[in-house]
Amino acid sequence: MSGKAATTVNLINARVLVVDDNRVNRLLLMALLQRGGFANISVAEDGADALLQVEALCPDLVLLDLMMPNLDGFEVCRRIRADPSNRDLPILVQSSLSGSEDRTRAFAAGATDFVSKPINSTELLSRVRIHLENRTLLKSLRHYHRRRQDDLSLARSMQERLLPQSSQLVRMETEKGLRLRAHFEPSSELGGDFWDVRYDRQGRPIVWLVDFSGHGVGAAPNTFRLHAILRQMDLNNFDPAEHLWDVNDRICPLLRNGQFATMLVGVIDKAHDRFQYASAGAPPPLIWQAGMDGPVFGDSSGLPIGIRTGAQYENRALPMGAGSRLFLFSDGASELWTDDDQVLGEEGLAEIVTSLIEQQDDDHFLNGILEKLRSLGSFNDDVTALVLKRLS
Amino acid sequence: MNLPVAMFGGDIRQFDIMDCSILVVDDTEFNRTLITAMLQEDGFRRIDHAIDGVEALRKIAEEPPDLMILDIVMPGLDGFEVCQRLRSDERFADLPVLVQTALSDTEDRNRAFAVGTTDLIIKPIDRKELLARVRIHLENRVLIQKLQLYRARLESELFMAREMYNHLLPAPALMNAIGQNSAVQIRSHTALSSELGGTMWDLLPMDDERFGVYLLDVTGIGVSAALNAFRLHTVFNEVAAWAADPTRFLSEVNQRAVELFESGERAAIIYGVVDPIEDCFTYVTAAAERPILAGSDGAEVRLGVMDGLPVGVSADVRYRLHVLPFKPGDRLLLYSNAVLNGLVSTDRGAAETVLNDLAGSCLLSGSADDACLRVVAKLEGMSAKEPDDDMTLVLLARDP
Repeated sequence: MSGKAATTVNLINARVLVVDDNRVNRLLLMALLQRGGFANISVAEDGADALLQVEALCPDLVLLDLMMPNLDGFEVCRRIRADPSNRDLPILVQSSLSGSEDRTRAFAAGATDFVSKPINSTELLSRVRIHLENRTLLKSLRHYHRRRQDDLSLARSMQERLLPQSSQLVRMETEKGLRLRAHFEPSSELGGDFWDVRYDRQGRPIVWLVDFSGHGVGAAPNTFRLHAILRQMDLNNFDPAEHLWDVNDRICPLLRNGQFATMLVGVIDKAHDRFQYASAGAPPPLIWQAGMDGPVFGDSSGLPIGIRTGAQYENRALPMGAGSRLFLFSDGASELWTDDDQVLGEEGLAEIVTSLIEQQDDDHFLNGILEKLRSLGSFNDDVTALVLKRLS
Repeated sequence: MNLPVAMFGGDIRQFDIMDCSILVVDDTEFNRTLITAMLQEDGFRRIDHAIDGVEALRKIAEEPPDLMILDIVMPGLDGFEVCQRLRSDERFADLPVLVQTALSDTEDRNRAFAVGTTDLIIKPIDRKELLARVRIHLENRVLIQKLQLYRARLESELFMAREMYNHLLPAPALMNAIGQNSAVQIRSHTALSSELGGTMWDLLPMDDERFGVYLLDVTGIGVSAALNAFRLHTVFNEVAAWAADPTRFLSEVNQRAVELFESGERAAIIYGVVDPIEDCFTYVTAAAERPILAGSDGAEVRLGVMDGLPVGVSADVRYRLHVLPFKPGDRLLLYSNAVLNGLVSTDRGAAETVLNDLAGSCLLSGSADDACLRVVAKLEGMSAKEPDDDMTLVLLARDP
């Protein structure tokens, strides 16, 4: 048998419902199916009977005559399909070769396929088998899909709850004069990106952006672990390089060989009009003062976390006076593969930032960047982008 | 065909089959042109031709189409032969092949199906029938491929996550070290209800002969439960400095879990310290199942205590310390909730009795390995249904 060779369908158990108002036809079809190995056959004598039997028996396939008194085959088809749980139920209608119009109407009513009249045994059995195999395969795939989606959407909402809520951002804006807009987009249900913002003891905002290797379900647990570690850590006398060193030592024993993360952590230091940060191989921070016509790149070299305990990191600073904006992103944005098969790159991303630099509204600015990125290619890694503005 | 790997929301049946590629194989130019015109008129954009069987096989090997329309009578390799060769190659087992035959020719039809044809198209070709057949098979193929792709992607992601999970469980080297240092042999058995799960256990060696052991069981199953198990594992790691003081240790874990968990998320935990010098197991439970102790002295099997609230519910829970004797030759069993739920009885007390009897007959038999295998085999034999929750059990056997 051709087709979905991977699935072996137990045809003996498949339940086939034969619907025909003509007794001789019913017997003929039953005989043909039985000779073909089907043992579980039911019959219905008219449309109304057919609908009752579909409801009661949940057949795996319906073989349906079109011309019947009262409820005809077209109507039966429509009513069966009206129940969403029957969307994959194969309905094969019997149609004479000359009945091309009938066939078109039957397809419109939801028929899956047709068998030509007069019935040819090989053709009938082949069609029935093909559609039963498809149905079995679809059933199991859909079951898998549904089960996974339920589980993953729960996990997805858990992952979203790791991130700061909008009320927190509103508070930061009014209390600290710092406006933050964020975009977080895992490439599938779950991702390996993470960001956070909290305060040190002096009330200075600290921002984190972390990107674990890999994406999807395999990367997500690490973001939960890092989140749990960060919650544990002492943020007094905050020093970005020391913090990074500490995080690295704590995460190293947890990660499997080959897993790592890039991370940038920095503090917005209003007293000194600067952004002081340390980086573990994260993409460079882009920063610009009000009135500048392009962003400045910050140095962001450093060993990713999770690779070697004891790794040392360096404190760096960029000027960040009132009115300045800071743009942080995960490499899903800068390493975007454009549709003409090139990597966008950090320079390319900086150009996009430059082109939107006049846009004072931060939501529009961030949306503008994402729109541009989407117009260049489709995201195949997690994308996180943050824009922080020191309000004047 | 390049299908997006994106997640599907809503109905998956909405997709465009017009981008599917179709290979039309016919030695008559007129037929190729006619079929192509019909397909194009309907909106199909990617149609290619082969003028005979040899060319068809070559083109398919280079880049398999999504569907093939095949003529039977051709010079050289005929349609039957082409079909047969394709089906002998696993890569093309699923490729829909529609064969054109004359209606009158019953023998051709039978032969076509016998060599692996997916379906037939009756000659002379009726436009509507051709399009209906092509659509039916492409829609099925695309839908199935899409779901298969989804499944393949998730399976590989879950495989990776499972490896991370396995990485968290105590390594054999650690178990051996404890076996030597503390003269306690440790065996475990884990059966998750799906690829990932919400039970986990770990060992915390100390500077002397003592060591800590915990078993946790997060509410729920699957990825979401596993994420919380990963979190708790991290928390245990972070507060390991208090491992020698079970009450303090568990309340530190609990306070952090309260911060991290959302309402409704919780975990049952048992944590205890095995002390081979004092011959005891000192433990606390956060609503975890009662540990079972089988004494080598022939006395009855003892059940420990289950008390406390699950972790993650309230920050100011006080856990009470309990002690079980754990003498040379004794064996101790820790297990997750699913072990009881899997037993035939629906009543908790009755299930405990069953488990108790089972432990009495298995726990002390033979080596630690034997005992663990016997307990697991017994449990599997008694379970009424397929496991729908994650099960872990840990057996601690003191050397005689």
